[in-house]
Amino acid sequence: MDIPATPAPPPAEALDPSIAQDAARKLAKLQGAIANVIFGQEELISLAVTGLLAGGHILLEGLPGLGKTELVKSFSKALHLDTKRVQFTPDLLPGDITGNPVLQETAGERRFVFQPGPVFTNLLLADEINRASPKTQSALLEAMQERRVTVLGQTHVLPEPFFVLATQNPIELEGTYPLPEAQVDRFLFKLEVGRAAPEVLMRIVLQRRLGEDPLLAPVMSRDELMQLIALARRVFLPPVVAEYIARLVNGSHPGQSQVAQSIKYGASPRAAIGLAAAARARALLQGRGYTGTEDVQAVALPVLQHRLILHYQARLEGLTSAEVAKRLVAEIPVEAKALPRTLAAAKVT
Amino acid sequence: MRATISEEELLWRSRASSVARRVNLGWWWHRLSPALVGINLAGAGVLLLFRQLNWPYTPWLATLAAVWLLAAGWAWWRARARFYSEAEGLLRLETHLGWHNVLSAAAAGGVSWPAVPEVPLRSVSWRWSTSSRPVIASMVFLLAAWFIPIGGPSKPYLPPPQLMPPAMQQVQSWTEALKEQKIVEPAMMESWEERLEQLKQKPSQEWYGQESLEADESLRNQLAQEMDTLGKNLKKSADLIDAMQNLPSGASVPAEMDSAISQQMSNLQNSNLPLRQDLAQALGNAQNLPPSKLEDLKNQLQSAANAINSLQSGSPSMSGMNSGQAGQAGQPGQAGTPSLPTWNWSPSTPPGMPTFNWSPPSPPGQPGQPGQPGQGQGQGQGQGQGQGQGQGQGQGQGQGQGQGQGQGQGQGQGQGQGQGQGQGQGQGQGQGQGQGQGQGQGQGQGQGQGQGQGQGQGQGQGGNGNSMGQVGPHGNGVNDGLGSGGPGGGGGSGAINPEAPTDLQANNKQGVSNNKTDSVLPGDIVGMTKSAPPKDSKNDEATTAGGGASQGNGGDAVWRQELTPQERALLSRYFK
Repeated sequence: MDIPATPAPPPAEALDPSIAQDAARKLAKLQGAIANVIFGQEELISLAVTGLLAGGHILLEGLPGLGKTELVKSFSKALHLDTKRVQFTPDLLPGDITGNPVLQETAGERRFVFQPGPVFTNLLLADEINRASPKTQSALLEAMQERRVTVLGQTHVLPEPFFVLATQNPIELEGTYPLPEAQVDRFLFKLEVGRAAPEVLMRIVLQRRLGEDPLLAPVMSRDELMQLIALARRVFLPPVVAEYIARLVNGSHPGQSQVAQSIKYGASPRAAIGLAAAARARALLQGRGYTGTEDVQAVALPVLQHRLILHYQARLEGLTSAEVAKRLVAEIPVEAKALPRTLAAAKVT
Repeated sequence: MRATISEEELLWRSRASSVARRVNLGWWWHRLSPALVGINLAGAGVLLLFRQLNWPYTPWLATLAAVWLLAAGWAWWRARARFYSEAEGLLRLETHLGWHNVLSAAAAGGVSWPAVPEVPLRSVSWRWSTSSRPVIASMVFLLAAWFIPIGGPSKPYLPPPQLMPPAMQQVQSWTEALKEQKIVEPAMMESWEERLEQLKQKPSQEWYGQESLEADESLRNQLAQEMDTLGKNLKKSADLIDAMQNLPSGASVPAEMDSAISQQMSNLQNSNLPLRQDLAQALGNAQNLPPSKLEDLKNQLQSAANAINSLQSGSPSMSGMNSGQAGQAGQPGQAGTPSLPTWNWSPSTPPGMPTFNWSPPSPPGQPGQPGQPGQGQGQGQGQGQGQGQGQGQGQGQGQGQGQGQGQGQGQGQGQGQGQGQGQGQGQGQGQGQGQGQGQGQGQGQGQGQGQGQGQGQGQGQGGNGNSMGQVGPHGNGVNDGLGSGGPGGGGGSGAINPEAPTDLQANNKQGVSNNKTDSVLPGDIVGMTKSAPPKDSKNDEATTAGGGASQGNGGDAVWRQELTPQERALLSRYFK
């Protein structure tokens, strides 16, 4: 790609560094507030904030009791967002998610009045989403992607911001319905919630009481969040970074890289868009007005791991999509063109 | 639209371009170096071939340069897909600095250009060993092919010129000298040269064959004989002319002188080395020549004679023909003592199979007749002629006749044929081949190796010699005496005289001893002693029939009644 000899003036949406740094301070404050509730999960919180900043939906996977729901409730409190929680069960109907028209009689006139479902909220906590039927799961597809639902031909726009934070249990898979790839692809991040370290457990034990909700004051209004989301979209993505994202996503397809030998189906362009958005959000989180390849590498794992479908042989060998995603990031170099053998990358002295 | 580009942007872009150029050069070299190695190695081989065949270097140089250029172009073509642009150079820089792609963002207009840091911005470095070692090695091969010593194209093998045998060389030198001297009629010289050429035309490998050597020697002997005859005739002719000049003035040439001159002229013309025609005619008309011309003729004949003499004596092989004055007649020899049969061992026979040349003893010979004085002509190297003492060294081939007495010491190698009579004492070392006839008395000490054939009459006491040689057949002579020869050497022994009773002295046994063992070969008998066989005194006792003279002493250790100390210790342990 050639650089013009006389570069164009910076675009109007280019982010001023001071603004970016101010946004970073606010976000850091948000993270800190949530970290006071969810102990020992700083990276998880950072990624969750990144996901929200990117305007994406997040799938949280972890064993019961690790704080998945608590994380979502903390975001809700900290961001002062309207939050609804839906416990997905096998008997859950799609209308229970999206809402149903209800026949009402008003002034002697009967008509259907749409009753919004729990999806009409800012933050939807879809607990154990893999327990609902695929029909019910698919009810979220339109809402997650287009942020609107259509019921009886009528489209109802969802409020902004709208985030779906779903959880699922990696065990007790009997009687569950794995999310279809189409729906999984609509989640920006899949974050794995791990267990806490002993010192974190000690802290939890000392500071928490069973059945008590932790107190968390709002640190950011909804409008501020919306501004920050808008700022994240203004973070500059250099062409080299976009080219890197393209090579990364392309490398996830069979035959395009060494690690892709284990992949049956690779990431989609939606994944590339998600990478770019997540990289921007992370750059803003770092206080930069431009994105770098390091940002892409930082968010590649949560973006890609749930979008890679491995071969049966790879799964038999014990490979996980997370491991494959890591190897993919390691294999695809930042620079498109390698150095010749006659040259070596010099070290910074 | 910005009117100016910031300084930081210029600096960064120039740095990026520099990085890109360096990377591009690396890729070009990456593609070129293997090809360069192959080209250099092939070029080295071709250069060696050029040098081997002595072809000019210019085409090779031009071709090599052209191939290098082609390879460079090909390498650029193959590598251009990997070339870095300025944007990639910026990316390399920001990756090297860890700057989160700020330079790329700035180049795209998203952010401002950052300030150029103080740290070095060499984001790539050369791997000299990887990049240059193979090419340097190939260049070393190329230089080695340029400078390494190499022989030219192999020439067809020509065997070294074979050295002509001595006889052939001598004939050639004589014929060339005679031609140069212009003494002999040219036509006859050509015939001699033709004969020589026939011998030379044989394959050089056959020159030293027996037949060739004999032919060479025969031709040489013939030529020498003719030259000798010519020289004598020339000398005689010159003497006759000198005598003619000394006649009183007005006197006529005596008939005898005239017939002698005619005889000489006939001799000179009728030989195989005829005198030059004009000289012969002048000689025939000598009495009518004016004095000055007569003098000239005499000088010419004399100088021709001297030239021939110098030819004959000037060559090394001619030292045997020493000039000498005629020696005095030798004294009659004394009768020698009868000799014992001699055993001569010939080394040429296979080891273990000595051959014995038995010569029976011969009766004492009668005293020999005094020898006639001889005539000697010639010039030789050395000092000492006739009677005298002399020392000389010489190598030669020669024919000679001479008589002389002399004492001398000499070292020489020679081949010769000679006839001579002489008495002498001498010490000498020599190697030679010779054929000779001789009579002589002599005492001498000598060391020599030789092969010879000889016929001889002689009385003498041979010296103590360490000679190893094949002794020729014994001479058959009248009144030959018996000589006592030294061990290993041949001494003369006379033949059996049927007229006189032969006392072979068979009961007179004498021991043979040789104190000098320097040249003794394995198997040589260096001595014989007479001694009684060893006698066992113990067995001299009288014995009864069937009884032994003595009891044996061996074997009783097996049956003795005592044990050795080790056996005693072993048994004591066993029965403890």
